[in-house]
Amino acid sequence: MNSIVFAGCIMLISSYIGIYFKLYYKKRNALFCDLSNFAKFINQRIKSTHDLIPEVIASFHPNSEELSKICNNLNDYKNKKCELSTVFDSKYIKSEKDLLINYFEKLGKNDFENEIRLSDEFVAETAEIQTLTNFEVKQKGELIFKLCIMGGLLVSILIV
Amino acid sequence: MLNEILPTEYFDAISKNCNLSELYEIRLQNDKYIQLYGRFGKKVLNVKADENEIKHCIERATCESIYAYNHQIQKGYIACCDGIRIGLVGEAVIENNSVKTIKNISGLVIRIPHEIIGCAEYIISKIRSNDEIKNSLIISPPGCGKTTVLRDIARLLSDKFNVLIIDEKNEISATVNGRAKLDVGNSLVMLYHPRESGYETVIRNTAPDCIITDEIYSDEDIKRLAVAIKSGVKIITSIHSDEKQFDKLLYPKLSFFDLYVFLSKNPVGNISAVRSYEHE
Repeated sequence: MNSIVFAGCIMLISSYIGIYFKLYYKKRNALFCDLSNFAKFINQRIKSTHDLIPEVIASFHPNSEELSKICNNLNDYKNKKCELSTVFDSKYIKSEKDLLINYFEKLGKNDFENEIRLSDEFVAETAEIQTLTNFEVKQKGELIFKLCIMGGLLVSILIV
Repeated sequence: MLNEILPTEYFDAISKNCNLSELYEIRLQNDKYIQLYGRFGKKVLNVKADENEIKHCIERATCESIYAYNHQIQKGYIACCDGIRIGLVGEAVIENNSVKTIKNISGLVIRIPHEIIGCAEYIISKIRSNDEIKNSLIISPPGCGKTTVLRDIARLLSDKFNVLIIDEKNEISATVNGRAKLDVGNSLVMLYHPRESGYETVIRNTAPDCIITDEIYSDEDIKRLAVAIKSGVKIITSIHSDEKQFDKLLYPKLSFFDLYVFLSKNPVGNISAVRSYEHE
């Protein structure tokens, strides 16, 4: 009886780990998908109506909760309430943090031509990251989820 | 607004040394002492301006969106909120015979607008006669209050006439989010519109009785004004000059105005002469 309960616990834990990773990569993908839209939005608003950066940030409505937090942090940074290095403190952002800091540090500090160039580059870079995170959802998220379920099942069978 | 543009250290030093309501102009130059001009005359502060702070002033004045002010920077200025205008001094970058941008900015001339309600009451009595407006030109060297007078003229005339202001540098109305912060009465305000096409656009689309605009400068400006006047719309504008130079160099080109008002610097806004011509 004890072994069945123990096997059940193992199964539950392994499922939890699997779901955690699956959701992690899904949310990371959603964040970068939204960030890519944000980059396009900034690009379009700079090009077409020459809007000011604070207005552009305030008028963007993010879909993901994570980007919503980042936009709030960006507003705080623009109002000198926090450092730029802390704006992108999120478990869903890994090596991309430097790229983001670099872009937002330079954002709005160039003449029109260079601003457009910078913005175009950022759109391309975020699109590239989005492709990668899309791939991660299938390759890593799904794979880890399946491995955890299979592993948990195997261990449970062995225990029983 | 000044406290949002200037670094705290500079703003504190300025507000300690003068009454801000009497301040007309601040001059910041890299590694030189800050200079103030106002009703009190000239004051030099014991604080030196620094290259980095000048750069930050520009970033703050443009809400960290320098690209949005590109067309103004090309012309050597930034028009901020509240009608504050920052003149830029630096190295012009030339491309295809025109200024592409200004780099290595080493100096700023920050001009603060002043509203003197009623300062144009005497001039208005000359501009308006028998319910008609005269085409009028306000003439003075820089810093004598031409814009302040034009603003008050707009306020006073807009009670009865359809007045339209072409506010190329947002100095007359200090409009923010579609609302004029300085009192221009019921005047309509066309902001940042270049004068190249401004007169034609507003005359065709808004049918004003009178157009008010600041600082005509080039021969092209004068030609456009003459065309606008021909269309039957009354024009009230200003030009940098003094009585002597105006008579010698400018009057032959600007003889189509009905009224010429000369302002002098001592004191600022003082009317030194008013000349009226009845054209045949």
